[in-house]
Amino acid sequence: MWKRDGDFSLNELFKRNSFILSAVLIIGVFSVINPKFLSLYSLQNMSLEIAPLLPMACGIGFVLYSGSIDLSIGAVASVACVIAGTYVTETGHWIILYMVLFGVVAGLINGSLIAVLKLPSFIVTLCAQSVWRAMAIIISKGSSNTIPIKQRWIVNWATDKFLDFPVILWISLALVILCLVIERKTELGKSIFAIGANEKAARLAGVHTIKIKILTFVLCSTGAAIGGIMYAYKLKSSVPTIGDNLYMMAISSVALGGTLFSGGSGSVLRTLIGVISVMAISSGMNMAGVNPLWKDVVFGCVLIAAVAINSEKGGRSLIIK
Amino acid sequence: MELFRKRNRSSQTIAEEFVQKVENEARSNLIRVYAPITLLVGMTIFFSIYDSHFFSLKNILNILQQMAVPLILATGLSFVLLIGRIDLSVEGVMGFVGSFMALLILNDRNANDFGFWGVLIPIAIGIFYGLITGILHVKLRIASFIITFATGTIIKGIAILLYDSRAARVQEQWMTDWSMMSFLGIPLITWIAVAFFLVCSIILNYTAFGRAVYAIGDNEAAARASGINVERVTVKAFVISSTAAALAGFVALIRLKFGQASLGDDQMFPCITALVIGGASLSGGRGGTLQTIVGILIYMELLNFLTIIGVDANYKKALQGIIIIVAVALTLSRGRKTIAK
Repeated sequence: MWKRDGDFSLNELFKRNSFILSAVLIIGVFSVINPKFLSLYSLQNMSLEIAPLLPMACGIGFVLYSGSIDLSIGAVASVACVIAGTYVTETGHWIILYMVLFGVVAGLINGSLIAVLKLPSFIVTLCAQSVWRAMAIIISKGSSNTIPIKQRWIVNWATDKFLDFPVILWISLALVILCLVIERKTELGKSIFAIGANEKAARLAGVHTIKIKILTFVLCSTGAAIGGIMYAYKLKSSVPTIGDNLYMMAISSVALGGTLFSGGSGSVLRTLIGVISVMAISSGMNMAGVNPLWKDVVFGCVLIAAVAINSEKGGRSLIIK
Repeated sequence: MELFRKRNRSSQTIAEEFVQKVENEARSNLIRVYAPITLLVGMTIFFSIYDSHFFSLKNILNILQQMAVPLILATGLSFVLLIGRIDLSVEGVMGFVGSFMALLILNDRNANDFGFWGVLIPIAIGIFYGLITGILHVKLRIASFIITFATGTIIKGIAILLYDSRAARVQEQWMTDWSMMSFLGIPLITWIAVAFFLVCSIILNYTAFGRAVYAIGDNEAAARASGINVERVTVKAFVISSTAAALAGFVALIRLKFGQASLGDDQMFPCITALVIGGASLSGGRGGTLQTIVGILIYMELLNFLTIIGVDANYKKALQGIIIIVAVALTLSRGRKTIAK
């Protein structure tokens, strides 16, 4: 009764904006525990962590809006990180372009298998994860390699400060704005949400569902590849296992932002708040001296809680599998 | 009259179409059942001719020992796959049970020696964890792959926290004995796996619960309409899957005698690969005892063969991903209204 359009409901309002409340709560709790939590130095450190996760989370956001999922982003980021970290000294910054292209190709593979062959997205991307993870280890021969100190100057600009914050954070924020434009102002953005809400209806209304679905996976893998490059530039080394926990964090951030996993809703701005919340939890725990092994347990619980709070209980009677 | 004839003709064609559709389905079912078996026989013959070591008694025993853990896990997972869900938490549960068990029985990390209870308690916790996962999935209406992904991460994290990143080495004598023991030349752990497999086969094929599992996988709405308690059956399937994971953790500990949480890593994916190769469908309703064992045998033979001819472990992992996509693409029944994400 309360859910009719135009009706005002405090409950609904609260539910829709609970993501801001949770972010404020998280940051509040940690700054009470440790007053230095909101100092410039700590924020600068945190922004270095936020920067690579942002493009990944924004990318997977598009896939989630359309009602699919991509579990391969961590592995794609690993491959991008390994190749960028290993070959940046030889190719210079062209490696960024190559790795973005790699992201596009990885997304095209996932997207075509899912959209054209109509395979379930989590299976395809789970397989892609296993393939790319193995590739990352094969390319790096199983160990992380640092960029030699003599050649560090090539990548040092990424962590230099511009207006008090590292350059990669500004790049990430620029990408967020780009995603926002795609989401709000383009036909692509509207089609993605239409597919997520009701794929059949979208197709009948003239949306080219196959093309749009492939594009969401391309955006997602490209975001993951950019995240991987940022890790290579930030850590100044190639780490084949960097992505193993990243997809958990990226998915948790999107969920914390209040995006429904059933598709059809969400926003890049929500994801931005979600990423900040996740990183606040992560670095807040570090600063409070919590055993880093707790991270997986905490993020698992956060993911369940976020998905449970935001999921629609009534309304659409989907068979949830 | 004209109209009547027309309608009559069209109804006839609909009936014919229906008959043809049923026949087609029966034929494709037949292919789905016999193709994996043919593949298994063909592979065995080909591998034996290619390398004479393959069909030697030593290598067969080797395969039988290696297949204990995958067989247990796949048997449990098959229930979850049959109802069209997936359980990504088995690796975490397996790692937890193995590492926690190592801490409770005689080991080099602490003074614990609970013996029998040290084995039983971790397994009981593992089974209970499946119950929690199932209830969360059903009550919160969260898609199974998200909830099991999260719960799997949580329990693996707890396992590592429990041994505080220094895993325990088992010093219990009977466990060392068990790993050596064999009956009729076949290792004891394989017998454990086979026993579990047989019990689960009976549950799946001869109980009301087993029939309900198939009914839900085939058409969940119809199963619900015909009075099956879908929620309860779903939770039970998750409990069976985590029971398998717990047992697999125990068996893996017997084999390795070192209680790391990474005991379960890279175990689930091969099992799903094997199940899909054997003919189980990821959208539910297809699969069963025969498919499970055939799939596992195909997978183990392939793995063994790749090792014999000297393929790198990482390439094997990459290959798994490709195999499963191809197998899913071939077996997925399109046009069914399933919401598989």
